[in-house]
Amino acid sequence: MRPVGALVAALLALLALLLLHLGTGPVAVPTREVVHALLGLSDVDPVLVAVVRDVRLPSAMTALMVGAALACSGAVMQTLFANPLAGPSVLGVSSGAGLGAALILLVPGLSAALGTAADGALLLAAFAGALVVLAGIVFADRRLGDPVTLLIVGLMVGHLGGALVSVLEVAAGEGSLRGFVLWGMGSFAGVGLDRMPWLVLPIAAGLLLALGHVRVLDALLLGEEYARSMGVGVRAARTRLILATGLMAGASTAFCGPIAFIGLATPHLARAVLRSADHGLILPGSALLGALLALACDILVRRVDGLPLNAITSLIGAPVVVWVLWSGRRWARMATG
Amino acid sequence: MTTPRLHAEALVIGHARRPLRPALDVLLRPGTVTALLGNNGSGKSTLLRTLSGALPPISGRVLLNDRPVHGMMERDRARQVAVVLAHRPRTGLMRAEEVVRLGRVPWSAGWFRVQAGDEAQVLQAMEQTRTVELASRSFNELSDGEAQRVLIARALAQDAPVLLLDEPTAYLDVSQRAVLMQLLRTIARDRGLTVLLATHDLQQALDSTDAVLVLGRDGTHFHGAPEEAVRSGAIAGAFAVDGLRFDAETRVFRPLE
Repeated sequence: MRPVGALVAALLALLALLLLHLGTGPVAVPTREVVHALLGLSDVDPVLVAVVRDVRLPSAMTALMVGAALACSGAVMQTLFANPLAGPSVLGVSSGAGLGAALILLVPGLSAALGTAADGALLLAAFAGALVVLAGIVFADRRLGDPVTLLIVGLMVGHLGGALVSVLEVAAGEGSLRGFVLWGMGSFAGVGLDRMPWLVLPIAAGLLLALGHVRVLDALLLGEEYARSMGVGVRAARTRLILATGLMAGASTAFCGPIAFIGLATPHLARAVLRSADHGLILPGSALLGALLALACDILVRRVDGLPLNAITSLIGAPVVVWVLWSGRRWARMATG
Repeated sequence: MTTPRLHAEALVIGHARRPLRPALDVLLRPGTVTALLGNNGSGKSTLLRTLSGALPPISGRVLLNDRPVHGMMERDRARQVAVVLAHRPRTGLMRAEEVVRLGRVPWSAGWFRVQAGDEAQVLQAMEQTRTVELASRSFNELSDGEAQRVLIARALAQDAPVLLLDEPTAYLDVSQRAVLMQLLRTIARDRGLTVLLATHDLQQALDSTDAVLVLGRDGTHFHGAPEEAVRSGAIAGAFAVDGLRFDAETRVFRPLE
């Protein structure tokens, strides 16, 4: 598809999904009234206005931003590690963030003691967890230099994080355990307008940082030695890009839980749709598609009450990854080294 | 009379502070193709990587138009030296044209990706390497000969006066090798490039380059015209093996009778 056509189609789809999302929930709101409520027209029931603007709009915005952030960080990681299966959840970044979040949510009395600072502490702990794992991955990457081994290391780090969380769960009280289990299912609904800046700032910073490295990422597609010969300060660029993915994936996971597959699958979809490897197209394309997917998944969550977001994203994401491996001869070359 | 482009001055190459061979003094001129010859382990790749600035020298200097290569900023250096590496990169879904366009990376200014003149440079590079008709093909699906020409086009798009190639003909069949060498000579002359290429293809190198740089096994080296390398015994010495002798007439190693 031509980039301009794809962009227009994606934006239209985004608008349609957004209106559908705002109308979906325990109380169905017709599209016309959703639009009127958003525009502030006075012919809509004030209760419906409150539902649309104060309850559903924040979660729709959260879905948009987190979907974009996860997809974009997945695209960056796939190039950075020269590995089509890299992504926030596969390389253990989500587990690191989860461990950080678990420390705040599960250690008895901690979140109560933190009081109003708990939100900030949650974000910081999850972010720190994501960065620690990423730093470990970079270290392992430099030592091993083999993408397949690195994937295994990432998986093991993920299991390790999961095991540590289990240990914390034993120590945790009933109430905080429930909170953590809900966090683990993933949800776009928990971020109110008051907490929104904590989510927006790191994601925006990460996105801008990633977009500023479009050329560097392109050069890295040829491998580090070529990138260096083209004047790229590879080591410093890697560090900055890892920081960008950590900002995006860490903040997303902290607030919405470990959301599976959007980060891994979306960049492949973007490449397939745009038929390009150019990061100037792939990063914005992944962000847009990720926002679309996240919004669509959240609509399904709202349709079927009690369905975990993570189940939906996996149901959609896992087949995409299989399809990529199945049909992607070109990518298969990369996957097998 | 042209000025020297690439100057290795008392250059000692090696890894991890261990010198690989004695100091080297070499001047390479613009508009010429020089073949870098030597057995495995003689330091061909190490020399190329040191000349390109990827590897620091143990001592001595590499000068580019009198400026030390290893003192340059990375981007500055990339505008002076372009390389074609020995391995074929894995490029995902990249089209040939996109690979060539990457050569413009050292000239791009941050966010603004397309500079005036970029497309002209890309097109010229593809015309000179006869890769225009490959432009929209997927790089991964190109034959080895086609891929090598695309990688050379990428290096040319970098618009650097020095081009270093590590065994560019290694995976090519005989006719493709001849095509590639001829191509490099034409480009070097037309663009006034200083081209140095490592190769194991002795006959090809002696037949179709302007000069050879032979890294001998006893630490000596020879730099000069191909005929001179044959006549002086530099070739025979560098590649000598028990039971073989170098036939200077046919430029082939033959078993001793």
